[in-house]
Amino acid sequence: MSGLINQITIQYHLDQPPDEARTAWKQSPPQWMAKFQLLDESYNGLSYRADVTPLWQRIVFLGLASSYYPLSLRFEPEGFGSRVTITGQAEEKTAAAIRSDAANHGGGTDPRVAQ
Amino acid sequence: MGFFKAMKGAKELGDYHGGMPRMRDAFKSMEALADDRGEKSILKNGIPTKATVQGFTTPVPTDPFAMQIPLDVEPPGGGTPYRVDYVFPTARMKAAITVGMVVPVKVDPADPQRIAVQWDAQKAELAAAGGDMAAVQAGLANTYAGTADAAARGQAVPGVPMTGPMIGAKSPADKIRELAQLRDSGAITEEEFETKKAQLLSEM
Repeated sequence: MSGLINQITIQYHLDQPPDEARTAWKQSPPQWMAKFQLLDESYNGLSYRADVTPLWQRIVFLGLASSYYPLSLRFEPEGFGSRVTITGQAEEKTAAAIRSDAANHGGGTDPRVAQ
Repeated sequence: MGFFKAMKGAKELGDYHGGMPRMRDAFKSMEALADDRGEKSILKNGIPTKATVQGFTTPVPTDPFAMQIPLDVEPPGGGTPYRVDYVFPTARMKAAITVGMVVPVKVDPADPQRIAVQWDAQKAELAAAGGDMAAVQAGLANTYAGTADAAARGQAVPGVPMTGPMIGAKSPADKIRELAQLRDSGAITEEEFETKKAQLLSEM
């Protein structure tokens, strides 16, 4: 069940066209995605999930109550490259790495906020 | 006494809503709620493509745990979109979906009528569109802008039901303007322009 905390939504530019960018991302995801597992692939995106269950929760609930952070990516054409939209949940450290990644690609924006 | 009063109030409220479900009914409901109606299999083995929503979600009269929505699905290999009245388990819905939206789906290669919306990917679609409300408004505008335009011009919109495909619908006046641009750019001749313009004017 998706929670309301640690939500992130960010968009930034990638130099490759959408299909190429999506394939490259799938084959070698950024370092900050180490905890995330590829769940599904759509015509223009990738869906991941990270298991964020704390150890105490595993013990107390005998492994029956897991917690997951979903993260969905969408690639769309933008100029000669593409624009990636990342939305979902990420721990603060991961969210900071995503923002840093966006900054390295010319800066990220939240598409829900008027620029 | 506060606790007992609160419990009494809670019981009265429960009774007002039909009381506690019988255990057998509760288990049947849980079973129906958790039934994915084959979606997991389609998501695992299906081919990704996209579909355009052609109407609103409505309840399924015979299934209280499902909803239905008409979609025009683009065949994964290309070709003319085909209509699917998509019935989905309500419990699997993770994101907004409404008329005019383009949604990511997977198609069962053995039966193209069997599809599943990719809800996680749909969340990214909504985010990219500027959030839920912006996506809903854009979908409505995509679908009904043509209808509203025609209505404003006092035209009938023949055969356009509430779920009718109106995406990208253009008025004859818009088409004539586009044709004029094509003529000015040299893409079509004056003669071709006049012929097409006469056709379009007869539709107005």
